[in-house]
Amino acid sequence: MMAPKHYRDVYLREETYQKLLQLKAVMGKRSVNDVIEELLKCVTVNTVSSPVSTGKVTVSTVKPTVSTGEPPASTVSSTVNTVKQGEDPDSSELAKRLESLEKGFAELRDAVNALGRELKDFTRKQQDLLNAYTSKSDIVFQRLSELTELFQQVAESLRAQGSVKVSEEAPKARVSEKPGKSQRQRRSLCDVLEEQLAVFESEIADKIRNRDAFFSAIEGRCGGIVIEGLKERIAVKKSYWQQFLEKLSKIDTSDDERIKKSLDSLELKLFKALKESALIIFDATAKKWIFAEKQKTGTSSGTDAGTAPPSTSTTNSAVGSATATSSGTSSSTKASASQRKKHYKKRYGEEDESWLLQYVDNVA
Amino acid sequence: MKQDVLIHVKHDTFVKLAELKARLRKRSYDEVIKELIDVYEKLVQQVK
Repeated sequence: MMAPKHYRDVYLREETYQKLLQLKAVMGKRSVNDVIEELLKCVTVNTVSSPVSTGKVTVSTVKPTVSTGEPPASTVSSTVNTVKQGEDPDSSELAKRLESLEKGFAELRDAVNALGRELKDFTRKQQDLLNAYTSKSDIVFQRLSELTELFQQVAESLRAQGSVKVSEEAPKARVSEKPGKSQRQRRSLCDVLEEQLAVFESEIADKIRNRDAFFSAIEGRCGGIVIEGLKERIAVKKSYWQQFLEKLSKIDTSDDERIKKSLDSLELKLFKALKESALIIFDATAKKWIFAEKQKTGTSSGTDAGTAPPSTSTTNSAVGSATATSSGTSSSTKASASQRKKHYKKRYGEEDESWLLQYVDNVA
Repeated sequence: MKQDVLIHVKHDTFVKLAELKARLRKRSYDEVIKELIDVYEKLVQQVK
């Protein structure tokens, strides 16, 4: 099939041709060539060929082209520009809006991308910071655990050596070159007694393991008095003990309330401990409290450690009174008792209350 | 396979088509005309 003069051959697919035919009918054109010309007039098509572009088709108006229908080179861009020559003014406005929308989308995309990058940077920086602190905290925890282990070892070794020994050895290590370290040790033990005046075994049970050594040291070195109660031992400073006995001798009642008023807290505690152990009994006849147990003192030599306490049944004052009055010589009476008291008072002096102890010893 | 259809276009029209084909980097005139039809249809849709 030969093309007429000034005509050229163009091969189209069937479907494209059908579309052209449809358009021909719609447009009311006489030939397919007219349809194509009309399309070219109305529309300058540039499909998106750049990979950067999103591939969306954007319609925008441009200035009407010359009558030849040749699209100006400036209209060719990465997007599709549609030229509708001098026809619908709404379409140009719409195209403008679409163009501005596309620009807005592009800006928004850029902003989002920039934000994403900043977010990544921020996250990385945070991660770096966190890593630095994490490593530091790891080191701190490691050192802490080492210290804890060290402390545990020290504590175990201290327990193994015994607290008394430790308290004695600690100053030794500090002043090993200085003489008279034993005096220093005694002082440290005696200082405790000096400060507390009375040390109850129950109070030091959890602190000192070797309590026998503790009490014997107090008794031997500090000259304190160790009283073996029913439940516990009590170490008392000698001067305080004498003071306590003096106060005790002035109490002429067995009423707890009145006793409370006349004794301070430590004295009251000591009093209760002694009373519970039946070491002091109230002589109802003489209306006096009597120390009924031989106390173990460092100074009181010749005391019999195996001597039994007066009697565990002598807790009430009546029995205590009976014990005080019936013991001793066979002819012991109130008069003889008072004579004995006077005798011991003279012997030990009025201020020294240890006469009472001696007196009770002999009575027992 | 559908057969291709041969159409005759005026020389001027053909020149324009050829120029568009080059600009759009299409492989055939069929693709150029398809593109033209697509854009035209979209334009008509937007105007509607």
